[in-house]
Amino acid sequence: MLGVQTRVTSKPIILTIGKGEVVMAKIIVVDPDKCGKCNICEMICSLAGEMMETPLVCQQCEVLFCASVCQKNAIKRNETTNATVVDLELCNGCKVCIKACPFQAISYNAGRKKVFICDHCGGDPQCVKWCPTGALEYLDVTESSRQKQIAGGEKVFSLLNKIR
Amino acid sequence: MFGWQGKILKVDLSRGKIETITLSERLRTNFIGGRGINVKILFDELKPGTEAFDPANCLVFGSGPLTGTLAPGSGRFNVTAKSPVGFLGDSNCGGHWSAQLKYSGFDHLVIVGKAEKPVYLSIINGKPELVDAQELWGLDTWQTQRKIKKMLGDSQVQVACIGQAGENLVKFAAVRTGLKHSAARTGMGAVMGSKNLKAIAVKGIEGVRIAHPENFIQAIKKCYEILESMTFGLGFKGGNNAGTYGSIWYQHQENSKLGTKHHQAANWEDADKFDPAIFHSRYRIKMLGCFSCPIQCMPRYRIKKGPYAGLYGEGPEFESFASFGSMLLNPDLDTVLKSAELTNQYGLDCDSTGRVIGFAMELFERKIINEHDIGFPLKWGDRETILRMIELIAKREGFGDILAEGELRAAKKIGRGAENYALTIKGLEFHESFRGSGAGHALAHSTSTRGSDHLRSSHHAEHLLTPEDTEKFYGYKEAADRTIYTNKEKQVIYNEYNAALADMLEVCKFFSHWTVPFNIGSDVFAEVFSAATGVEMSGKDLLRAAERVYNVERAFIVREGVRRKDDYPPEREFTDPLPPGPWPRMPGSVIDREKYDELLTEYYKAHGWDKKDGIPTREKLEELNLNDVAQELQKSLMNKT
Repeated sequence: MLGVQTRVTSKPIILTIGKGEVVMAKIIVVDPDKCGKCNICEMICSLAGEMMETPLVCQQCEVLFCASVCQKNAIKRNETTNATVVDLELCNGCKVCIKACPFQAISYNAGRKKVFICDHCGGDPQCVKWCPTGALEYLDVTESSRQKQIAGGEKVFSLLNKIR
Repeated sequence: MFGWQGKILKVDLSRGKIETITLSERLRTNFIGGRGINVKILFDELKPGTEAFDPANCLVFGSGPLTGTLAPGSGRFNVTAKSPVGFLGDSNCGGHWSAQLKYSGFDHLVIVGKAEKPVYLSIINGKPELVDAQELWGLDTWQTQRKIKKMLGDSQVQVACIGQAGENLVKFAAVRTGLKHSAARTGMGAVMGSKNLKAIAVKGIEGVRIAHPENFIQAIKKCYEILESMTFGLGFKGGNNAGTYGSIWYQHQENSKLGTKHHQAANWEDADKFDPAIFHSRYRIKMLGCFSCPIQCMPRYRIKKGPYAGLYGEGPEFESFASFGSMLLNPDLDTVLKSAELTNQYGLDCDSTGRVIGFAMELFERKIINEHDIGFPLKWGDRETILRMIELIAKREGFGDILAEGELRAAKKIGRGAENYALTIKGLEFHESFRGSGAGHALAHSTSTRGSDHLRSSHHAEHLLTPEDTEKFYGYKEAADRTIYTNKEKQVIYNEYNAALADMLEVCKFFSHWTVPFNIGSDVFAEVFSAATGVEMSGKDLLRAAERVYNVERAFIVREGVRRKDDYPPEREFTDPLPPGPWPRMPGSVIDREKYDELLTEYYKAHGWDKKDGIPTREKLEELNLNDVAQELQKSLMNKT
C-alpha cells in the first residue's frame, strides 16, 4: 500500500507567491525515533487549528488520493504553501477521503461535521515549532527530505497499525 | 467553564449508582484542583476514624485545572483516601491518564462503597459505566491495561489500575498506569482493591477550554524559557545525566542521603556500580515524556544480554535504584531493573517494598528471624531472594504475608524486639536518613502530612544553594547549612506550599520551587492559571490556597489522631551515628533531640498551630476561610476528651 503512491521526486517544487516572490515548497517530516510521546504537537495543533488524533500528518503525496475521491472537489493544493487544503464550504463530511488516504492522516471534526487535513498552519507549522525534541521538521522538498518523510511516515503508520 | 470541566463523577460501588455533580465555585477558587480539592472532599466526606478497607472509605481521583492543556507537565493526578497505613493516603502520578479524564468531561472522581464482584469503571466519550471485571481479577497491571484496551477496541484508552498487590490488600499497593507510572505511596492501590475496583478506563474528546488563549501561550512560553535556563538538568536533551536517576544518584551519595542497608548507612561503597552512565549508554533506547511535558525525563530501555535479556521497560526512577540497590546492598544493576519490572507489574510502591525487604534482611542479620520463619535465608544483596520476596509480598504468600502489612505492623506481628528496627513516620516506611543530610531534611520529612516522605516539602537548599540564594528566597542564610537547626522551619514551610501548589495544579514538581527556587514560581504559575481559567489569581493568592490545603491536611490527620510524637524521625536517627566516612555529617552523625524539639515547636508556631501538638488553631483556620474545618476539628477534639 505504501511507497507506491508517494513517488520520490528529484526536482524541488518551486512556488511563486505574493509579489512574484519565489519559494520552495515544504513538507513536515517526522522522525519517530525522536518522538517522546508528549502530545505537545497535538495540543498546539488543536489550539492553532484543529484536533489531530495521531502524530501522523498529511504526507503531501504527489498524487492526492484524497482529492481524487472527493465528490465535491473540496480538496486542493494551496498555491502558496503546496499544502493540501480542504474547502470547508464544499466539504460535506462524507469521510471517503479518510478511507482513501494511504496514511489515514485525515481527521474528522465531529462538531463541524467536516474533515481536516494538515495545512501547515498556512506556512508556519506550529507543531514543528513546539516539538521539544526536534522530531518534527519543516523541510524544503528535495529528494532526501522526501525519503526522510516517507521513511518516517511509514514507520509511524506501521506503529499506529500495531496498536490500532 | 474554562480550565476545569466543572464536573465530579460520584460512584457508589455498593449500590452500583453513578451520578454527576457540579464542581462548586467554592472548591475551585479555594482549593484550586488536584490534591487540594481531593483532600477537602476527603475531609468533608469521611467519618473520622473510618478504617481504610471499610467500604465507607472515600477514594478520590483528581486532575487539575491545567490538565489536558499545553501547561508544561500538567498531565498529573492525585489519588486520595484514608490510608491503610493509618492516616492521610495521598499519592501523585504522571503519564497520560489524567488528560483523558479531563477529555472525558470530569475533573474528579469520588468513589465510595464496595462492589459485590470485581468491576472496572469505564468513562468513554463522557459515558460512565461499571463493567464486570472478573476476567481481569488476578492479572498484573500490564496485562490489565492491554486487556481493557482490547475489550474496548481502542488502544488510545488510558487505564489506571491495580495489580495482584492491590487485590491482595498489600498495604503499600499502588495505583498504576502505563508501564511504570505510579500513584505509589500510602497504599491507595489497596483501598481500590478493598472496593473490588480493578481499573478506571478513560478516553474522551471534550476539549479543555482556555479563557485567554493568547495570554496563555505567552505565559507558557515564559515557563519554557525558565525551564531552558534551568541547569538542574532533569533529562532535558538526554545524555548520561538524564532523568531522576541520572541527575540525583551521585547527589544523594555525596550528600549522605542514599538509603543503604535499611538506613544503617546513608552512603554506599558500591555506588559506582550504579553509575547512571552505564545504564544510559548500555540500556537506554530513548527518553519519553508524560502528557504535555517538554522535559521528557523517563527512559525507555531494553536489556540485551545476561539472565534478563529481552527485558523491556520504562523508567526506572532514582527511587528504584536506591530501593533495590543500596537499600539491600545489591550491586547488580540488572536485578534492580527486574525488581522494578515486578513492582510495576504487581502494582507495588517500590519505596516501601524495598524498605520492607531491607527490614527483613536486617532482622535476619540480627537473628530476630531465621530461615525457619522465612523458608529460606535472607542475606543482604542476595538477588534471587530479592525477586522472590517481591513476589511473595505481592501474592501475600509465606513470609510475604507478614511483610505485606508494612514495616510497622509486620514488626508487631513478629515481636521478639523487631519493633526496635521498624523505621516509619506516621506508619509510612522511612524514606531517607537525616543524620548526614540535614536538619531541614529531618523536619520536612517528619512533618509531612502523609508520613515519611520527600514530596510534601523539600530541603534541597541544604545541598544545592548558596547562603546568598537562601537569604533571597527563604529570608535567612542558614538554610544553606545543613548542620544548623535554627530557622529551618522557614524553608520547609515555603517548600510545603510550593509542593502543594504543584499538586493542586497537577503540574510536575520538577518545574516548581519544590526542586529549586530558580524554577517556575507561583507568580508565573498564576499567569498560566489565570489565562487558562479566567479566574484572576496572583502568585500570593495561589500560595494562600496552598496554605489552606496544607491546613486541611493537618486538620485531617489531627482528627485521625496525629500528635507531636508522630512528627518525629525514627529513634535511630537520634541514637545511632552513621558510620564514619568522607561524606557530610550532622554534628556527631545524629540528629540532636533537643534542637529538633525546639525546631518542631518553632515550625508549629510559624504555621500558626498550637505549639504543643501542632493542632491548627481556630484563628488560623478561620483566617484561611476554613470555618467549617475549624468547627469539625473542634467537635472531633472534644469527642476525644
